[in-house]
Amino acid sequence: MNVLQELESYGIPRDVLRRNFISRYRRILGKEFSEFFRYLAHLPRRSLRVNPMKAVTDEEITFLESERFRLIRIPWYEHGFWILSGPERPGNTISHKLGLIYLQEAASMIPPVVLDPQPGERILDISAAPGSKTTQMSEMMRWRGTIVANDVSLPRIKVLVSNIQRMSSLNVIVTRVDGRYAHKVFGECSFDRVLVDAPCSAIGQVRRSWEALKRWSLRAVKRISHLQKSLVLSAYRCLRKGGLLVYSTCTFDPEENEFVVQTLVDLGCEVLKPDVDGLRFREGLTEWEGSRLDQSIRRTMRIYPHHNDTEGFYVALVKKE
Amino acid sequence: MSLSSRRNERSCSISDFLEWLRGRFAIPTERIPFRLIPSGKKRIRIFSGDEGLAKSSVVVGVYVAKRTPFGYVLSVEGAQLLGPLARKNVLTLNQELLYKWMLGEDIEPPRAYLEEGVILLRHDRLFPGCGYFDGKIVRNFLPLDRRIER
Repeated sequence: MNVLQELESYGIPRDVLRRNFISRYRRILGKEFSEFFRYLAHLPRRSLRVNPMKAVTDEEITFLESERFRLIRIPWYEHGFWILSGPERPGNTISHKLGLIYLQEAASMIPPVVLDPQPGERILDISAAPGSKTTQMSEMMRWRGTIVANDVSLPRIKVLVSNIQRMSSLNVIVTRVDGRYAHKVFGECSFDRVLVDAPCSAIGQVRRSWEALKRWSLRAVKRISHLQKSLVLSAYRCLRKGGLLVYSTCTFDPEENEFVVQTLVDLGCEVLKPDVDGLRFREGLTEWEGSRLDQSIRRTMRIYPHHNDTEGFYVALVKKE
Repeated sequence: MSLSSRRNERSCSISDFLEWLRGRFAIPTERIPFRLIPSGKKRIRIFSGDEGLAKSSVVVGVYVAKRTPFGYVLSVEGAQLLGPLARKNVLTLNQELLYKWMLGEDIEPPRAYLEEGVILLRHDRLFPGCGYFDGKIVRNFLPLDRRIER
């Protein structure tokens, strides 16, 4: 059986896969290749966050049960739950419409957990829409301190504003700035922590839709890597000395991940090892296609779909020296 | 009194809004644990962050109320944040009426202990917004995007 036949046998349509994608991902994934693609072909488990502003008492949890939600806690986030069973359209429930819950993929809860924003701090979320991580950080801060939730696209900002409203994220300011120039608008060294959840080729989201596989090309990866480096450099300038920055994507091409983190290392940042309860992941690459990266980049996390039965993510935590 | 006769073109101020909350819902406003800020001519928002960072902002905090010709109308979040302090003009809904409300339907309250005007709705500890009681029926003010579909 050749590789295309193997992937087809998992349920991945042949026409969504490019040959250079397969050969590249074989090199990235090594012996995890088959398992990775086997999981890509299946929808991830549904998950949600319970909003502690609106749903903390037994009465409210009972209310979720009255809407037939059966939940089990996600190990890495105290308010995160996998949906064992529940309504067919959880977005059309009273709990969702009133903001008791936020439907969010379990792996997408990881970057805020790694950044660990504290009450009273100043946080920048440089590409915030649709607001899953912004609203999560707001509740982690107990709505104290300030989050600047920025995005550049107006339609996406509308969704961001709507989610901030629904989740009652009281400490959030929404801005519309091109993230590449954020330091010019917000000022240098003005934030305690920064989240750069960068736009990416989104291979980690393929479990929900084949679109990212259809769109993927090496040229697109290189183009988006350039944008990611510009975003992360501006974010770095916004961060105070000693402050923490989380860089995350939902893809696995090294140019969009480790190579972007290398630009921060070149500026003197220290890569820290994240501490996330109950999470399986593979460490970051330090060598790719003849290029050697700093050994500390090994401390970053490649979270493949098959590790925790989630979507895929890459997460790096760095400290500005 | 007709709605048009209550028309009031004043722009809103926080003190005006607090006075309205005291009169309409008997809310002890000194116990409101949030910072209210005016937003434009008609809206009130709650924001707990640093206003110094708000320059070049599109939106700050959470929208809680809007001035209308018949007083203020609370957003769903306004009802949820301020409702627990209300002592009158609150209509308690059972599960069946809550479902009806969330579909966007008007409600005929079983008992007339409400004053005409804007009222809050509650189901246990949930406050699913506010409506307008015209003496007979509670008109549903739930925004379209916050309603469930059948």
